Formats: sequence, structure tokens, C-alpha cells
Amino acid sequence: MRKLLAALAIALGVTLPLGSRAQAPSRAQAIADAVTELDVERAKTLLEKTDSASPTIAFERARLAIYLGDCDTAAAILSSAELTATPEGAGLLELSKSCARATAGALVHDDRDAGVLIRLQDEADRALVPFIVDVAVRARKQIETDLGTQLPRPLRMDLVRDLFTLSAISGLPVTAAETTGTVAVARWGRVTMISPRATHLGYPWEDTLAHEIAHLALSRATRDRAPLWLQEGIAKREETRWREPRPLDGTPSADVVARTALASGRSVGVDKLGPSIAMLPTPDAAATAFSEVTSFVAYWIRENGVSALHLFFTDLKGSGTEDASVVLRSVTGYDLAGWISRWQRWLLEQPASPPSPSRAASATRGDDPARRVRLGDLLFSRGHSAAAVRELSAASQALETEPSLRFRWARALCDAGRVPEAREALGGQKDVRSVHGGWQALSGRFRTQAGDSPGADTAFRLGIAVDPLSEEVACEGQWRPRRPGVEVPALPADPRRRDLCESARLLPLD
Amino acid sequence: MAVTELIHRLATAWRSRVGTAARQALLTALVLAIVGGAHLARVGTPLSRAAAAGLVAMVAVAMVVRGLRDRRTFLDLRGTLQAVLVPTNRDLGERALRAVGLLDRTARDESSGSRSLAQLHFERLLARASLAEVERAATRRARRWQAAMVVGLVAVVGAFAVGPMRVIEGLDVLFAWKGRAPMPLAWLDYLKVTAEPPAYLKLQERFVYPGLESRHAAGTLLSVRGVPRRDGRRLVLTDGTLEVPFVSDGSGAVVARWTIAATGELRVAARFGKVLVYELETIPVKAVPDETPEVTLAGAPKTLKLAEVEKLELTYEAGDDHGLRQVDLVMRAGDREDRRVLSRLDGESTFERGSHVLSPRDPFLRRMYLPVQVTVEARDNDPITGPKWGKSAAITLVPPVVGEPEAARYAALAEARGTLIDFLAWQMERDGRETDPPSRDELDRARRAGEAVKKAIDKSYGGLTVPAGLRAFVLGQLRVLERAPRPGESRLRRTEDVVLSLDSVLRALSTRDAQSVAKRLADVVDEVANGAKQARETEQKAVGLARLDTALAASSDGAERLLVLGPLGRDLGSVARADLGRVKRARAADDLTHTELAARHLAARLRRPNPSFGSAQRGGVESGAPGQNGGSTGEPSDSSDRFDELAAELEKLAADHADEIGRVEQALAEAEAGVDLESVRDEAKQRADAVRRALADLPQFSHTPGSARSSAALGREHGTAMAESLERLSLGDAVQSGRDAMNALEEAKKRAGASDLIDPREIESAKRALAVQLGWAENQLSELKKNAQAKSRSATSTAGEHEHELSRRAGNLASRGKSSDTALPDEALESLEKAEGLMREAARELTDGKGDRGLELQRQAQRLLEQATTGQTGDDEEQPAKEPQPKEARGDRGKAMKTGGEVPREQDKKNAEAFRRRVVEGLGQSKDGRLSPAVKRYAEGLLR
Repeated sequence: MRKLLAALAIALGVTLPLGSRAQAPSRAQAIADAVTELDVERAKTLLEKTDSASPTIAFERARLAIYLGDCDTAAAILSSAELTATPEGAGLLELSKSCARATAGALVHDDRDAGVLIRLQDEADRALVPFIVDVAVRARKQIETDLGTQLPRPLRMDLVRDLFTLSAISGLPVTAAETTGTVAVARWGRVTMISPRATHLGYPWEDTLAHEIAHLALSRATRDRAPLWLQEGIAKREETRWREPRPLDGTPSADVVARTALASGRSVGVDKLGPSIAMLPTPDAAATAFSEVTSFVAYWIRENGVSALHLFFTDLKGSGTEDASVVLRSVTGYDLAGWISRWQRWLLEQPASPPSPSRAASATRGDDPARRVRLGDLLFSRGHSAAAVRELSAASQALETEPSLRFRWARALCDAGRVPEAREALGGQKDVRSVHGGWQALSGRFRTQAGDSPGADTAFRLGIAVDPLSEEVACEGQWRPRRPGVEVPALPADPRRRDLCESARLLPLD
Repeated sequence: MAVTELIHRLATAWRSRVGTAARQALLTALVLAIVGGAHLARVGTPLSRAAAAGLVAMVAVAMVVRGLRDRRTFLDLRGTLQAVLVPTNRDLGERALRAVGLLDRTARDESSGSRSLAQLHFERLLARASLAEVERAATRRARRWQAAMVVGLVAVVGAFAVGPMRVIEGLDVLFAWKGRAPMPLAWLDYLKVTAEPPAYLKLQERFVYPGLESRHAAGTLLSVRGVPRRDGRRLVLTDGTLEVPFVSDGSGAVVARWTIAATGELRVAARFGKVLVYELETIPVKAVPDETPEVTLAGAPKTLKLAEVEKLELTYEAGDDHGLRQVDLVMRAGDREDRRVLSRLDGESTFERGSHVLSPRDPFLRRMYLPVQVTVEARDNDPITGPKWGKSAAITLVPPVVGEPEAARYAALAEARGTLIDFLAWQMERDGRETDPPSRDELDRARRAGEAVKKAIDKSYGGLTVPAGLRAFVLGQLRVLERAPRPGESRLRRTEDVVLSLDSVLRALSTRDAQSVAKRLADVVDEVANGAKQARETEQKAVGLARLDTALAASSDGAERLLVLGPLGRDLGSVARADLGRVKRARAADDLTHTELAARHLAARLRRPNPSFGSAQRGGVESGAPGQNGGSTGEPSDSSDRFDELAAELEKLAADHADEIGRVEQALAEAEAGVDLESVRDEAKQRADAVRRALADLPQFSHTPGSARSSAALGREHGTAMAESLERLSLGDAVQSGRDAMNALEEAKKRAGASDLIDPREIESAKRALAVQLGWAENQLSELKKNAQAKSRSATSTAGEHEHELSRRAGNLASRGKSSDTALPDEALESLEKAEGLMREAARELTDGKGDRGLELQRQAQRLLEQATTGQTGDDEEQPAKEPQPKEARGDRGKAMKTGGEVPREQDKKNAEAFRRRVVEGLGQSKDGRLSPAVKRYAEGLLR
């Protein structure tokens, strides 16, 4: 941002009146810093006190408007010829315009008590808002503690319906977002996140939200001077610290992935992440990069402690340098290369992870899981549950740790009235390799039937944490019958889940 | 003598002389004023006319004043003495006047003196007056008046001498009222009026009789000629409003040309300043305007739901009083218009009839969401007032909601897939209890499921059909389902394969449809934005809001249809629903800026119809979770891919075979060209003359299609073509034309009847003569071919080897077409197998050097290959089918001409329409432009 301001000042300086030249850069820098640190109130006060008509100040005014989510105002300010003549002004104008289009008429939920402001592109996502607010409040509290900084209220958030809108609001190129599967971005002082309904099988949106809040907090703590490895490493660390541990947390281990990548030569490199992990060429490269920074930052904190981390942030913010390596040396005695070298040595000292046992039996052509799954789905969709069970059991046995297959199989069994067999088919948490919303919801249903309400609630919450708007999850393991003449199951008793269930049932069946 | 009598005598003597002379002089002055005034008034300006009138009035007033003054003078004693005695004897006259004064005083006042003495004094004075002296004085005065009168008379005569008609014209002008003189005058002798109709009417010039009303087409040029009676007049031709000057025609006459635009009375007139003096005779004309073409569209007006229309046949008739230039099909929806030329005419034809088939899948109709008014409009050839468009009543097409046909098709195909799934479920329930052979129940169920699928793929959904490639694939799969099981084959497995194959192509189709519908929906959403912009930025707020609301309602309906189009449709539809929610919210708040912005965002999104989350299955970056695949790796069936490979190979085979045919044709044509025919040139010319002589008595044309006369005319035309071909030594063409001529004459002979005014004997005679020449040409052609075949033996032998290789490829494809994964429909498989046989046979013939026979077999095989070509499952129905490009034939007819085309099958509506267009265009390109519209109508009739 400093570079951008300097460039803008140089570009526009020649046109400024002499009187305003003296005060504008310093005042503009103060405003820019306030905006970058998300201190919008301070930025507003500073702007109110200045009567400068300088383009630099106008640029900051527009930037503040974007941070406040007022893209219309930003676009209006940036439309001046002086600003559009500069690449920075023109670029921000484009963003403002696309943002104004993407947010026009959006629904705004302002929870003043919680200090969370959510703007919804899709009104149907309103049912998700209470869950989002809960997570945001808890995650923010934990992150503030961990990073030693306070985030201003309200926490601003845009819940968008697709990558196209995510791109329009954040400025991230849509092709890059599509390639890497970006689901959220912390930029312009707010979190922009895709609705879980946009993705097949949802995604762990709660952890993602925590991840992005951590980015915002880090920007505030370091005045946006944290290098990318620190940004992503800290954000990954904070993803799960706000909540109680869940099954399959840390699976696969970041250390293991990083070690494997290092040993196999597929390492991306902590200091070679480019402008953004979201802009790495493939999802695999992005996943490796995340594991590397997670492992590296965790190692660094283990070695230096949380206090050193806070000191590191303070130095970064106050040092006035963009080179984190220098700050790192002043705080710890080693520069970045030194720490990377130490971390890599540590990684290689760790025992190599045994090859993960292939829990999926090799499938013959006749038992091709994709074929069986599709046939099972088609049969289920026509209400032929018994026949679907046959196909899905074969698929599930071929890939027995795959929760989505176990879920389908158990669902078909339930539909066929063979509930005890369904319980067995679904299996336990130890039998599956990942968190699947439907699996958790069905598990919750079975636990409810078994009288294990706390266990059921945990399962339902876990399902919602992954795929809240799928019908089976939102409706507590119930679904609309495919056979005609069968009654639609009642909505959940819990009001929040009832709203979710109603929202999920808005879409027609496949 | 009494005093009174004396005075009377003196006065009488004076007045009888002077009064008469004065009156005559004044009368002469009046005449002079009138004549001079006429000359002045002839200038025609208001000032000159006022001056002339003033002059005459002034003289008249002077005469009256003088008469009144005389009368008063001679009634008074003093006045009489003053007028008579003073001019005669001044002293005596003054003394008499004083005596009268004394007399008056004594009468009023007796103290002034004796009245008697005063009376006596007066009488004595008066007695001294001499009558003779008064008479002399009066005579002198009268002579002066007479002299003035003479001068005046001379002036009057001079004024008349200058031009007596000028005086009359002047007086006419003087008395003009509102610029029009009261008295008509003759201006032209030998008046002759002709009317020349506008050139585009191609009519003769004709005479017009002045005084009698005549009718003329608007734009007719009227020429009025005549010899002016008097020179120097500014003659014009006028209808009272406009006027055209007469100009010299160089031979002593003058002419004026008038273009008739409206009914009225034309008159010759002379213009004097602001005044027109008309000729007595008028030229009344009635303008007949060029009428607007009348167009009728069969069935219009009516309203149809586009979704219920499979095709809209538009039969129209257009007529005009003079000629038509163009007939257009016009479709209008809201402020959008699409205009297509149905026919361009030469402007001479006054009637045009035709038909056009409009597909509900027409790109314009597909984009529309507002009712579409379909009209046929015809333009005439009027260059006078500009071309006018006549318009038929409209057929209103109410378009379906955007995406409705696609949604209906998807629902029907999904339901068809469902029947197969039901059958599969039934088989699975019986698994382990399979009978061999299959039970009647199983066969019936398989058949019913197959029929349900066939019904779904044969149906049209608001004009939307199942693409040909996809249809072929599904038919192939149904063939597999219904055929007898092979040894060891699991019928359950087979049904699974068919279900998955159908499912696979259905999902692919739904994805394509969702993308296509999304893009069209984007146009509608853009209309929402444009409406909002119009309402916000222009003064037409109400129009803009109406536009916005209509488009918004259509967008919402379209989004609902999009929702049912498979996974991608559900995704995009849900996005559209969400953003339309934003648009509606802004609209409800009357916030048009944000209404527009939200709509623009959605339109841009729909134009990029990718899944909401791109190609990634699940969030990877910034989510902290590795991607999950949900256990569904890869496609459960790749049979459509393999089918597409087969279809592509089949298309390539057809193209390669067409190339091979081209090479054989070229080899044969080159061999024929190498044969020397100069030895028969003279004889051919003689025989060509003989053909022409034989046909000379046959009619050249006929107005009655289908009559013996028209067949005979056709026979003559073909015969003439044969003669020309003979002269060019183009024997192939000559034989073909000769055969056509014989057929036409045979037809004419059969149709000949009493009412046809054609003698059957003439036909028979021509036929006999023609047969002789045709026989000669056929013999020569046969010889030519024998020689050519010998020359081309080496080339055809090589072609035979190539043909053999191509037949082997065809056999291989036919064999693969029987397999389950790449099953071809029965029809295509049969064509392919037949083509293979013909290709093998053609290869043998070519190898044996029988080029013509081989080529014929190759052409038959090519037709079958093209029939077997199915297209691929991913082909879009909207894409024009890859039409086989027939090679240029250089065979018998010796000139480049596309051959080898196949009449499309009935169910292949798109190709049939393309074929129809090709035929019509081809026939319409007749060298004889005059006949091309007729040929086109003929072709239209044939195709109907």
C-alpha cells in the first residue's frame, strides 16, 4: 500500500497545487494506514479534518468507502479524470464498479450485539446467518487473544453465491479463483466468502471463516506488512483453535505433507508463494503450500513462543520496512532463510510417514464405484431403494472409507425400511476418511433414535459445519421421499435448523 | 325686357357655349384616364392597380364637382353676374355686383337709402350689358375647352393604338379580385395536351382532351402545348396553387410540363404581376395514386403459442396495382425487429404468392420473451412518392418462457430414462431368476421402456427436437436393449449399460441446454437493466418501467426453467433466482440505479455459464480442507464418447469416399475430353438444324401449367438445348436433353385434347424426327465412352483399389456399429452395410476398367454413406448440420454442377428445410430472370 501511495503521489504530484503538496502526502499516509488497519473511524475523522482536494486524498476516501462496503460512493469518487488517469485509480474504479453491481440490492444483516455485519447476495442464505454469526464471534475472540490485537466492530462480511461475484467484490481474477477453488478472500477490510450451497458437498465454511478473520486481524496487527507465508501460516493455525477439536482435524498432517513434498521435490517453498496462494497454478500446489506454511509457522511458534510472535507483529508494524526477514532477525536472531533451513532440517528429521494404507479395495470393472454409485443414485431417485441398496453396497464395499458412499448406502437402506442395516452400513467415525455432511447428519439421526442427544447434536453441528444447505444435513438426516405418495418428513424442532431445512428444500430434486 | 329675363338670356348664352364644351372635354379626360389606367393596372402590382383606379376616380370626381358648381352658380344672381358678366365686361360686371350689394342693403335697412332707387340703378346698369358681347366671350371660352378635348382624344387614340388588348387586359387586371381577373381571355391557339405516365409503369403516352376530365396515374407528366395569341405575355399552367411557366419549344409554340400529383383543374393563364388572367378552357385531371400493396397472410390474424407450434407455415399473397419490388417477412417484439427478404422482384410483377416455413427454433424467436408479431410486408415500385410497404395482418406468436422447451425436453427425457430405470429395477428384483430365453413379460417391459424413450426422442418440445446425433445414439442403445441376448451376455448388465449411456448423454445435454438457456436469459436480464436505465435517464419513465417489469417477470420465469436443467441448470438457476431477488428488492424500493446494477451483474454472470464454483469439485484454497471427490470419480459410462468416435469416423469415411468419387469423375472426364470428335462436327451441326426444324411448329410457351401445350413447349425447350449441345459436340448433354424432350413430348401427347389448340399429329411428327437424332447422339456417345474407358483404364484400376480399402473401412464401422457401446440405429446400420456391399462391387467394376458402372455404384454407395452418417451426441440442434459437399460432376453433362445430393428424410426437418432452400435458390438462379419468380413458385409448389 505504501508503494501504491508513493506511486500515486508521484503520478499526481505534478498536478497538485503547491499549498496542498506539503501536507497531503503525510495526511494521506496517515489515512491510508488507518484504513489498512481497518480503523475506519479514525480514517473518517482524519478525512473530515482535511479539506484537501488532492487526488491522493480522494483516492483514500474511495478506498475507505470500499472498506465500508459502499462501492457506489467509491465508484463515484474514482470517476474523476485525475484518478482514472492513473493505473491505481483506474484499477480501483473497475473494482468499485464491479463491486457496486455485485452488491446492489443485497440483503444486509447487521447484528450490532455481536458486532457482525453480513451482506447476502442470496436471500435464501439468510437461514445460515445465525450460524455464521456464532462462528464469527467465537473465532474473532480466539484470534484476538492469539494475535494480541483487537478487531474493530462490526466485522464485515459478504456471503456471495459464486466465484464470479467473489471475484467482482474482491478483485481476485475469476479464472484464478476457478482454477484453485478459492472459497473465501479477506480483502478490503472484510471477508468475502462463497455460500456453501455453491459447492458440491459444501466445504468447511466455519474453519474458512476463522481463517479469513485471522487474515484481517493480522493485517491490523502488522499494518498489512506480514509476508504471505506468515499470513497463511497464522490463518491456518487459527482455523481450528476457536472450537473444540473435531474428528479428522489435522488429517493429513501439515508436517507430513510438507515433509513428503520436500523429500519428493514437490515443495512450493515458504518464501516462493508468489502474490497469493489462490493464484498458484493448481489446487495440489496450493494444498502443498498451505501445509508448508502451516508447518513452518507452527514450528516457529514452538521454537519461539507466542510472545515472540506478538513482538514480531509489533516490529513489523513499526519497522517501516517491507522485508520481514530483517524484522525476523531482529526478533529471533535468524533471518527467514535461516528459519526455513532450520525447519527443513527438523522436517527431515521426522520419521517418514508410512504409506497410507489403501483402505479402498481395488475395484474390478464390474464393481466400478462410479458406475455403481450412479446406478444407485438413479435407482434411488426413482424410489427403487432396494435396488439402489444393491448397487450402493457394492460401491461402498469397493471404497469402504468413503463417507459419501456409506451415506448413500445407508440412506437407501433407510428408505427401504432396513434401518438396523443402515446403521451398520453407515459405520462409525473411525470407518471414514473425511467429514461428509450427509454422513454426519444420518449419524445424528441414528444417535437421536438411540437416545444419544448430545452425540446427535455434535453430529448435526459437524454436518452443518461442512454442508449446511444440503437437504439431509439441514433437515437432520431426513429427506424428501422419491416415491410418490410418501409423506415429506417434518421439519426439525430446532428453529435455526428448521429455517435451514426450509431453505434447503427450496430447490427442486434432481 | 325685365331684369330677370335679361339675366336668364345672358346666362343661357354663356352656358350653352361654355358648358357643353367643358363637359365634352371632361368626358374625354375620363376616357383617357380609363385607358391610361388600364395600361398602368396591367403591371399587376397592387400599387399600379390602385394608381389606375385613383386616376379614373379623380377625373370622375372632377366632372361631378364641376357640374354641381355650375348649378349652384347660375341659381344665384351674384354668381351669375360673376360667371357671365365679369368675364365679358369687367367694369360693368363689377358695377353691377356693387349695385346688387346696394340693393341688398336697402332691402335689409331702409335707412341705407331708397330701395326703389337702388333697383332702378341696378336695372340701368344691367341694361347696358350686351348679349352679343356675352356670346362672344362665351364662344372664346368654349374654344379653349374644345382644344383640351382634342388633345385628350388624341391621347386616347394613341393609347389604344399601342395595343387594344393591353387595355382590355389592363381593365381585366384592374378589376381582379383575390389575384384572379374576372374575365377569362384566350391565350393559346392550337392547344394540344399529352400525358406521359411514369416510366416505371411502362405505359404509352396519350392525348388528353381539354375540357374533359381524364384519369392519370400519380406522377404522370402532362405536356400542354400551344401557339400564343399575343406575344409578350407571361403564360403559365396552374392548378390555382402551383404554376409552371410556359417555355418556347423552339418552333413558335410554347410548352409547359406538369407532373400530376393530385386531382384538380389545370388552366392556362397569363400572369400580370400578382394577377392571373385565366384561359377560358380548363384541363380537369383526376390523379390516381399508386396504391399501397395489399398483403394477405393465410390464417392471420391469429394468436399461437410458440411452444405448441412445430413449424409455422406462412402462406402469403401480395398484390399491387403497378408492381412489387420486394416481399419481406417481418417479426417484431417490443422494440426489436427482424426483417428477412422472402423475395426480390423486378417491379413488374403485380402479384406474388409464396410460402415460408418458420421454425420455432428460429434464433430471433428463441431470443424473444415478448409476443412476436409476424407479418409479411410487400414493397411496391413507386418512385414518385417513394416505395410504400403494404403489411399483412399479424400472426402473434406468444413465445414460451425462456428455457421452457429445453426444460420440457429434459423432463421428458428424464422421465424416459426413468422408465428404463424402472425396467432395470424390475430386472434386479428378478436377478438370479432370469429365464433363458427372456420371458414374454420381460420382453414386453423392455419394449415398453424402449417405446417410451423413442416417444420422448421423437417428440418436439415447442419446436425443439432431440439433436440428430443424440437421437441416433439413443436409438442405437435401444436396439441393443431389444435385441436377442448373445450367449453369455447378462441382460441385467446390458440394461445397466443402456441406462448409464442414456444418463450420460442426458446429463451432457442438460449442461449444454443450461448454458444455452443461461445466455439467452442474460439477454432478458439485460433488458431489465436497459429498462431501468431508460426509466432513470430519459423522460420515458413509464415506458422504461413497463419494459423493466415485463422483462423482470420473464427473467423470473426463465430462472425457474433453468433450475430444472440438470446440475448446472440448478446451479445457474439458483444464482439467477438470488440475483433477481436483488433486482426485485431494488425495484420495490424504486431504486432504479441499483436495479440496473444488479441486473447487469446477473446478465454478465449468465453469459459466463460456468458452475458457481468453477471446475473445482470442492473448496481447496482458503478453506483448509483437501478436496473431496464424493466417491464419484470419472464418468460411469463412456459409451457416448465411443459412439462419437464412431460417428466421426463415419463422417470421415463419407468425406473420403466423396473425394474418391471426385477423382474417378475427373479421370473419366479427362479421358472423354481426350477423344477426338472433330470428324463428326459437321454432321452434328446438320443434325442440330434438323432438330430445330422438327420442333419449329411446337408452341414456344404456354400460360397454363400442366397442359399439353405447356408440355409441348417444354419439349421444344429441351429439344433446342439438345441442338445447342450437338453443335458444341457435348454429346452427354445432348443425349440428356434429347431424352428430356422425348419425355415432355410424350407427356404432351397424352394430355392433348380438344381444348388445347394443339394438334397431336404435330407432336408425333416432332417426336419421330427427334428420336432419329437422339439415336444418333446416343450411338456417338456410346462410342465416345468406349474410347474414354479404354483411355482411363489405368486410373480406374487404381481407384478400384482405393474403393476396396474404403469398403473395408465401411465394413469395420458396420461391425462396430453392432456393438453395445457404439450401437448404431437400425436404419444407419442397414445403410452402412448396403453401402459396404456397393463399394465392394464398385471396386470390382473399377478394377475391371468399367469406369461408368463403377462410378454409378460409387454414387449409390455415397448416398447410403451419407444416410448412415448420424452426427455426434454433442451436436447442437441449432448448429447447421455438416452438409456433405457433393463433388463437382464432370461426367455426362460435361459442365460443373453439384450432384449426389440426397433428398432428406421426412423426419429430418432441419436438413429438409436446408434442402428446400438450396433447391429454391438453385432454381431461382435461372439465366432467364423473367422466369425466375415463376420457377421459384414452381419449386415452392414441388416442395410443398
